[in-house]
Amino acid sequence: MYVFFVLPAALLLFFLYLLPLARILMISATDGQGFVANYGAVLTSAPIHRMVWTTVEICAITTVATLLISYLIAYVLLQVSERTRMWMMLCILVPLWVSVLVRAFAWIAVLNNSGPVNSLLQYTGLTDEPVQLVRNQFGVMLGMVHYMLPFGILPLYAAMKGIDPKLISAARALGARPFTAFRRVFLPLSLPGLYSAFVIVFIFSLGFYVTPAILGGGRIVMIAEYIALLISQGYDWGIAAALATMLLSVVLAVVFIAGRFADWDSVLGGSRR
Amino acid sequence: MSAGFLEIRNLVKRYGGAVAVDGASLSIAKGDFLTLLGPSGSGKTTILMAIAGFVKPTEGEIVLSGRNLVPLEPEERDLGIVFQGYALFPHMTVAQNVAFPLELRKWKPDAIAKRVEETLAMVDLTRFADRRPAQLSGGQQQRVALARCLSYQPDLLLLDEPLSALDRQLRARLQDEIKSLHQKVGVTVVNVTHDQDEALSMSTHIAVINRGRIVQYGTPDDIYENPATRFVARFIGRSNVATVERIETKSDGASALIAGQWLPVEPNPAVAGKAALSLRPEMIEIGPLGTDRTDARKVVMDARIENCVYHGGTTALDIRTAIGPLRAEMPTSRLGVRPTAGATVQASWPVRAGRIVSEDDTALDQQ
Repeated sequence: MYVFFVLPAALLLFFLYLLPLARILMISATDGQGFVANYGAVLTSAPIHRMVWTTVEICAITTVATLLISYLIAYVLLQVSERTRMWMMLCILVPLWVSVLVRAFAWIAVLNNSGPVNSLLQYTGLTDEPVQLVRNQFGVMLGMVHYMLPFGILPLYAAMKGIDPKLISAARALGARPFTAFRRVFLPLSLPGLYSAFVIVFIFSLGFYVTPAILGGGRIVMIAEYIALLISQGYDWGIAAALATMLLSVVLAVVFIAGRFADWDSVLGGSRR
Repeated sequence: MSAGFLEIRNLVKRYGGAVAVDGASLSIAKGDFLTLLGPSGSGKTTILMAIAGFVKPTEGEIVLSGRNLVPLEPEERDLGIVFQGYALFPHMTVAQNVAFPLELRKWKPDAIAKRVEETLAMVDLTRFADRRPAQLSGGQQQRVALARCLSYQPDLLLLDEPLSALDRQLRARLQDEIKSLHQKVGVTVVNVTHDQDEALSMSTHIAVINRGRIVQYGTPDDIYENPATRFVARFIGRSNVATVERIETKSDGASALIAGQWLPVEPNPAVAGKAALSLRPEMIEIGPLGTDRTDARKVVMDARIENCVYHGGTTALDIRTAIGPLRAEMPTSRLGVRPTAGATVQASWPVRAGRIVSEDDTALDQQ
């Protein structure tokens, strides 16, 4: 009976998602000179290697930076008053409703060579020349971290909220200095939340397309844009599909491995027991 | 007052305009088991948390064996605390929980292992050493919490409603366990509870707290038998309390005017201001009419039975007398014929059983 309620969603997923996905797998194995040639090209081509390393480097740095900043903000959210928390939440959530395109161009407006940040730097005499802040790797990473922060903060905050504050009091009563209580009790108990935030943020970072395209100014090409270029400029559907398949495998592997330690219940709003 | 082991002097805690603790002073000796007893919101937990270091007093001093605790952080006080709900570390095993304070004190690993084993044996949890707290029952968790505090042998053990989360039977058993543990270890204990049975059965001393003030301090039997105020009489055990309009002392003893009747009473010089008469239900004896009324050491009056509830060993009777409705509780075996509602009987009690108490907590002369 209830099957009929799920059916529309299942059909939608099947025809618009699983079927095209299967077709990509097909293309990666059959297009051009076939399976071996396509995957061989991905594994041996020097430009692709450079692009993959750029992607991995940017994703690793932005994921670590996002998680660090998110952890701090989530921890502060936990300590502040109800009223301050409401305002902080608003500041975290409002950017989510602004298009990623608008945000990328906003960063360019703020950070370009004649923008307010560079004007301030020169006015205060910190630099004589404008500092290159966008259209390079730094600009891409800044835009990505900014975009991903809410996705790091919210699961971490949800997990931290589930930690009984009495445990910290208990640790201190037993003789732990505040930092020791944090390191021995709070940090280990917040790890499941950190794992789920990691999975969400890292997978997010792998798929960035618009932000690197605009803030990288064509100089920084990450995997999503590379695949798009392969297809839109008509080079090779086979290699593009092979790259996409490998990206998907990495994502699935991350979800499977890291997801086993993650605390999905509190992230998704369920109870832990 | 000589310097005690733990001294609290004029402790005041205000939150904005609200006063949580209003000038509490206490002194207890080494080895005492003190219970802070009061209704919720009376300030008892605030006093405990001030001793623990989680509440900063607005005024006053807390001195433990000559050491002023107030400026110290919680971790510098070297006390043991069992929190409400136990606050066991869920990511550590029972043994790791107990070892935690020892590791913080930089004990050697083999010394830690030895002490953990001893402590777990003491609370009879040896075979649960490798379990997580979530795999234990409430009573077992409670014993882990105790073991975790006792492992480093603190001078003072603080208990914050340690039994409130447990069911009745388990509570009674753990009361006995905590009491025997207290005798075995010899640690000084400050316990907080709103459960008067727990206070009476476990403590060597009780401080009754109401509205941020210590209303009465004494041994359990002293508090039960000689309540100082109407509040104490009604909060500890059950009591009939009647307002006294006037007390007159003549050559043959004192009398109190209650609801237009003069009753002989024993005067209580500690009560200044408005007074009330407290009479424990079990002190009232119900008998047939026509008992001798000439005994000057007894108060005797007619009573009509309004309700009679059989409790097995005892029988509770609601009676109406010249001084108003009273509740009496008698051993069923001494009652003779089961009284019926509407019957007229004779109620009597020894004059010394009626205690003159202060009507008002604030009018109390603080010793």
